[in-house]
Amino acid sequence: MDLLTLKADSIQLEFGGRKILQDVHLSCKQGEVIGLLGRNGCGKSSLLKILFGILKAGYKHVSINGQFIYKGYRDNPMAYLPQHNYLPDNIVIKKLARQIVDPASWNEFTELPAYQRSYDKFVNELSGGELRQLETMMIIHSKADFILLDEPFTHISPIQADEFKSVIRACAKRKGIIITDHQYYNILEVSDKVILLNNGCTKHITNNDKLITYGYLSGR
Amino acid sequence: MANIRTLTWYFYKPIYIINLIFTLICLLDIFKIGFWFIGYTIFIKAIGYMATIAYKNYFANKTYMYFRNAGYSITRMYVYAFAFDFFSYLTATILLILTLHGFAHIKS
Repeated sequence: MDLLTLKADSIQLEFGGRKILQDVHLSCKQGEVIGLLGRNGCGKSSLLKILFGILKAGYKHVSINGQFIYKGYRDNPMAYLPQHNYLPDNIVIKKLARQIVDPASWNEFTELPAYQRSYDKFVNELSGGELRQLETMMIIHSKADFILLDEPFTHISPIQADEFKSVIRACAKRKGIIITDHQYYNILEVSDKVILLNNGCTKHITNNDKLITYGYLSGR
Repeated sequence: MANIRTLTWYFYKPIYIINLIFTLICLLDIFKIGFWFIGYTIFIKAIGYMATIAYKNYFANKTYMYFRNAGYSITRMYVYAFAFDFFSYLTATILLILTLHGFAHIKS
């Protein structure tokens, strides 16, 4: 089976005359985890939203194996974990999961402790951390070929973050993953490639010292 | 792809009360004013749909991502939900007309 490649080319975005993204190029193959780093307000979340098709860019070219993708969610080529909670609160978790999780991954998904603890509950019966963990797991086990994760390590404990990383690595065997978070050490640990968004442009980081050079880390 | 009928129900469930209220207002108007008012009730239903969109955009827009991750656009979800609601409204209107005709026939 040919591996799919997601490519984003020449993405441009500006808000009120301020250029947020101006020369963004990235590519992600199935089997790869791409870590996206950058300072607050540099456009990491905006980039993921543009890829997913819910934010209109000034210019964009997003393709999978050369085929242009207008809306990344349409017919499930991509799934996106937003920063906020997204599950409707009036339906039991088990029913919600059925519609998102890939039937081929269903058994694997139902064995997860996050699901075991909450499958018969409603969203408002879960704690913030439990809900975040469950929502992330649903996205990771979805039918999409490419997974976009926006701050998955936020609101969860270090031990849950460790669990996540092993699940992300396992999932990356069959999917392409683009992940962004301010907990850069988790991103560096889980990613095959790291991209830094700096002044609206993508910098491919081959050596972690470059994060200091570009002013993302202080180096102290 | 997810089961669209189930997803439509999940999308419609938080707003069915609002739409049910507008449906009851329309049926009551038809009952009180007469059958000639049926055309006008479509405007009332349209106001109900606009109220629904405003309510959902304000209070439940974060859940839109659930439906997108299931592979569907929000416009499509609204179209399915409102089509279902309007079909239910038409069915209720036809039943009301038949019932009123029945009563009129028995009386006469």
